[in-house]
Amino acid sequence: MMPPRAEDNRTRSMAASSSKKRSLEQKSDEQNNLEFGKSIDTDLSGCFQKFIANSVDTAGSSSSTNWAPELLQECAKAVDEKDGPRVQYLMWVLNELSSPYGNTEQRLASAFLQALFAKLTRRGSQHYRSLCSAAAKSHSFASMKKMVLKFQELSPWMTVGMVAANGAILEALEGERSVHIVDVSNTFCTQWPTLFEALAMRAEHPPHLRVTTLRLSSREEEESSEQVMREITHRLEKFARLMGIPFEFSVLAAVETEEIDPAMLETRSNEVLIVNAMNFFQHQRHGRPLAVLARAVNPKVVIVVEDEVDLSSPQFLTRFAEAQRFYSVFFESLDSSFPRTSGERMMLERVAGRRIVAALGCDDDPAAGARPPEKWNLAMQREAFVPKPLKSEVVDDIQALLKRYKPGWGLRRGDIGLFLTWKEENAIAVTVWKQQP
Amino acid sequence: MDTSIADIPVLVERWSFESHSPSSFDDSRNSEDTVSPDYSGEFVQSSATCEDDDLRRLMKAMLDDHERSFPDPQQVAVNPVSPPQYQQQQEIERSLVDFRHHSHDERVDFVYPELGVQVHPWDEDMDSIRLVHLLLGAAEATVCGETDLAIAIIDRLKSCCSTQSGTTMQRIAAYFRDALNCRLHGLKFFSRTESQFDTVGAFHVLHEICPYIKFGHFSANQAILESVAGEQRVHIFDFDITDGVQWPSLMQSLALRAGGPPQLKITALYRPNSKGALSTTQETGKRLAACARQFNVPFVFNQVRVDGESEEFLSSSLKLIQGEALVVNCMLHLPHMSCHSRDAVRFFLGKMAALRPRVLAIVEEDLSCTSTTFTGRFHEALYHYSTLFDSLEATLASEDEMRSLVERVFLGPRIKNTVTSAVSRSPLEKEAVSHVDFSGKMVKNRWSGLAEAVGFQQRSFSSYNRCQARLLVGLFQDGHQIQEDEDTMLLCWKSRPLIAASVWSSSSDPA
Repeated sequence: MMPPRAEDNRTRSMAASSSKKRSLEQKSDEQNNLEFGKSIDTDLSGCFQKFIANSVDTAGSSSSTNWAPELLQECAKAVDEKDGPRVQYLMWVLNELSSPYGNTEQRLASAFLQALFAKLTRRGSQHYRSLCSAAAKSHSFASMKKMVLKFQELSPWMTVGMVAANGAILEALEGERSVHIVDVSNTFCTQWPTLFEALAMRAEHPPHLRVTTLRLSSREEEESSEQVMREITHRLEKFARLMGIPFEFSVLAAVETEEIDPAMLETRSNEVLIVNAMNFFQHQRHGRPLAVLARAVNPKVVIVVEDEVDLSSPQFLTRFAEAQRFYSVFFESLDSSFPRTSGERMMLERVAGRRIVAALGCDDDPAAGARPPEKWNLAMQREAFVPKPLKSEVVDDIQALLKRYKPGWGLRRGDIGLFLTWKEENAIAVTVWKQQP
Repeated sequence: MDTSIADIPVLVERWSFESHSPSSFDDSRNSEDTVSPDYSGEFVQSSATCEDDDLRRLMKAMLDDHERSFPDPQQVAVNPVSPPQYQQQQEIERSLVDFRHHSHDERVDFVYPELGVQVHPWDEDMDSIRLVHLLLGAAEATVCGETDLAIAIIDRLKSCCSTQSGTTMQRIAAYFRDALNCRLHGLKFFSRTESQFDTVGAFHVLHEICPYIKFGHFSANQAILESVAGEQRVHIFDFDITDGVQWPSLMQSLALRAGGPPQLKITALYRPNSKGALSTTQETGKRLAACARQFNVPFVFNQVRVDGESEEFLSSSLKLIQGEALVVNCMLHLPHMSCHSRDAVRFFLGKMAALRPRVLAIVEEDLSCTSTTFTGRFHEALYHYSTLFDSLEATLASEDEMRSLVERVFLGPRIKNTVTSAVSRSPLEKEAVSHVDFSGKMVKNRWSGLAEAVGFQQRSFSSYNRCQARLLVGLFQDGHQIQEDEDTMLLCWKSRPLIAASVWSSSSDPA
C-alpha cells in the first residue's frame, strides 16, 4: 500500500503555513505511524459532524448535473484499493459537493458519502445501528405510517406491487371458501382495504379471510409498533365488516426470522394459504429463511414484490455500482414525484441512506457474512418454487393505475415476472410463485 | 570611496529596520561566511560577524536603487511621471518608513459576501485543506474531461473563496479557481491587462519591500562583476530586461572599481508583441543610457528583435566585437516578469552556448519547467505560489491594499498563465494526485537545467556573493532565508524555496 505521507505532509504544510497553528503538523507525524484505516479515522471521524454542518450552506446551489456518478465511482475505487491519500482527497471533494438538502445528485452523493465513510472507519455496523436508533427516536411508528401513505399517494412504487399482489390473490381465491394470507410486508397493511373492496364487488359470496401479519421489526420499535398495530387492527376489522367480509386478523412480531415457527401461524386444514411478501428496502437479509418458511407452510401461491437490486455480491465495487444504479433510480423518481421540500421525501431518502450504509458500509458486521443478502425471488427459485405469470387483466389494472401518477413510469415483462420501470430502468420486480408440481 | 558613510545615521533611520541596524546585527544569521571588501573574489578569514562596512555598503547600494526608482520632487517636472503616480510613490515611501513586523491576526470568523451569511468558525486549517482538495479535484476533472464535475467543483469554490477577501489560502484558491475556469473554457491567457499605473505601483512594492527581485539582481550582478574583473570591454546580453532596474547598481560598481569603468554594452531582446510590459525596451535603453552618463560609464544599448512564440533570432544580429567580455543575464519568471516558453529559453541558451560567454547568470522562480502530468504540475504550482503568497502576506502584513495590488497585477495573471498553458503528457493523471513526488527540496527540471543541456557547466558563487545574499535577505521580513542546494542559491520563505540563482560558464573554461 502506498504510504500517504508525502502528499499528506505537503498538503498539510501548505495549509498550516497560512495560519499560525502548529497542531495539525504535529498530528500529521502521529498519523504517519498509523495504518490506513486508523489514519482515516483520526482525520475524518472528528470531522464528519463538521462535514454535515458545513454542507448546510450548499442547499440549492450547483446547477451542473451528472457529476455524481463518476465521482462516486472514483471514490469507491479508491476505497476499494485502499489508496489513502486519494481517498482523503476524493472524500473531501465529495463532501463539498454533496448535500442532503440540495438537488437529486447532491442528495444521492450525500447518501453514498455516508456509506463510504462508514466503510472507511471500519465500524460501519456500529454507525448503522446509531443511525437506526437516531431515526427511531426522531420518527415514531405513526410518522412512518404517514410517510408510507404519502409515498403511495405520490408514487406508484409501492402501489403497483399491491395492485399486482391483490390481483394474484384474487385469482388464487377463486372457488375457495377459506383463505389464510400470511403477510410479510412493511406496508402497514395498506394493501388490504383494496382487497376487501374487490372481494365485496365480486358477485359471489366472499370467502372467509384471515390475515396474519408478520412484522419483522427491531426491539426498539416494538412498543410503539404494538400500539399502531392495534389501531390498524381495529380499522381493518371495521372496514371488513363494512364490506361484508368475514375477517380475522392477527399480528406476529419477531426480530429474527428464525424465531418464527411455522406452528405459530396456526394453519388450518380447510384453508388455502397464500404468502404475500412485500419487501421494500429491507436489506434482503431474510430472503433465505423466509423462503424456507414459505415452503414449510405449503402455500397455494407466493407473491413476492421487491426492489430490483442485487446486493449479494461479495465484491465491494460490484455492490457499489449496483446500489448506485438502483438508488439513483429511486432518488430521481422521488424528485419527480415529491415537491422539493417534502418532509416525507427526506424521511424516505434517509431510509434509503440507511439501507445504503447497511449494504456497503457494514463489512465489519460478523453476522453479515453468515447471512448474505439475497433477492427473495432467487431464494424462492432455490426452494423449488416455479414462477406463475400474472393474468392480463391484472396487468391492465396496473397500467390504469400508472396513469394516475406523473409520467415516467412503465411496465416491462421479464422472464419470471413483471417489472415496474422508471424511465426505462427496472425499479420493482413482481413475481408470483407456486410450488413445483 | 564615497561620501555616504557620513550619511549612515540618516540612511539607517530612513530604512527604519529597527532590528537590522549594524550594531544589532544578529550573529546567528551569518556565522560561517565572512566578507572581504574585494571585488575580485578573494576572501579573508575573519571573525564570525560580518563587517559593518559591507553592510553599510550594501544598504547604500540598495538605497541608491531606491532613489533611482523614486525620483526627487525636483525631477518630477523633467521625468514624465504623472502626479497620481508620484503620489502613490510617496505613499509607498512613507509606508517603507513605517514598515514594521506584524503578527498576523488569526481570522476565525469571516463573512461570505455572496451568501450574506456569517459562517460558523470553521477551523482555518480545515478550511485550507478542503480548498486544496477541491482545487486538486477540479484540476483532475478538468484534465480528464469530466467537465460536469469540474464545473460543479468550481461553482462550489466560487461560493467559498474570493480573490479580494478572506485568508491567504482562500485568495490563492480563488486565483487558481479562476485559472482553471479559464482553462476549462479553452481560454488561453495572453498578457496582463492591468493599467500601467497599477503595474508600476505593484512593481515598486515588489521591488522595494520584498526580497525576491533584489536577491536575483544582486547575486547576478556580483557574479558578473567578479567575472569581468580587469576587462576593458563588457557586453551584457539580457534575456528579459523588463525595465532594466538590475543595471544601474552594476554600472555604479563598475564605475567605482579600481582602474575605472569598462566600456559597457547591453543588448536586450526586444519582443514586439509583448503587452503589459512595465516599459518598452526603447524606454529602458534611454533610462539606462542616462544612468550611465551619470556614472561616467561609456555605454551603448542595443536591441535584438525576436519574433513570435519561439522567440528566435539570428546570431548575426548580436553585433559582437573582438576582445569584449560577453556576459549573459537570464532573469526567468520572477514574479513581475512575463512568461516565456521552454522552447524560447532553450533557443536562447543554445545560441549563447555557441558564443562561449564569460558567465551566464540565471535567476528563476523555483518551479519546475515541465511535469508529466497536469495535476502534478498544478499541485507544484499551488505549493509554490502559496509560499509566495505567504511570504508576501507576511512582508506586507498590514498593507492590505498593496498586497492585493501585487496579487492582482502579477500573481493572478501568472497563475492563470501557468494553469492554462500546462500541458498534460501522461494518461496517468488520476494517479498524480496522490503520488506527486515531493522528495526533498530539490525541484526537478529547473529551467537552469536547460543550460546544462546545451553545454554550460555550473559554477559556484563566491563566498562574498553568498554572504552578501545573506546580508541582503536579513534586511527584509523575518522568515526569508538563503539556502544552498549544491551550487545554487535559494531564496526561501520558511525553508520553502522561492527563487533560485545559479551561475554557469562554458564547459572547458577554468572555474
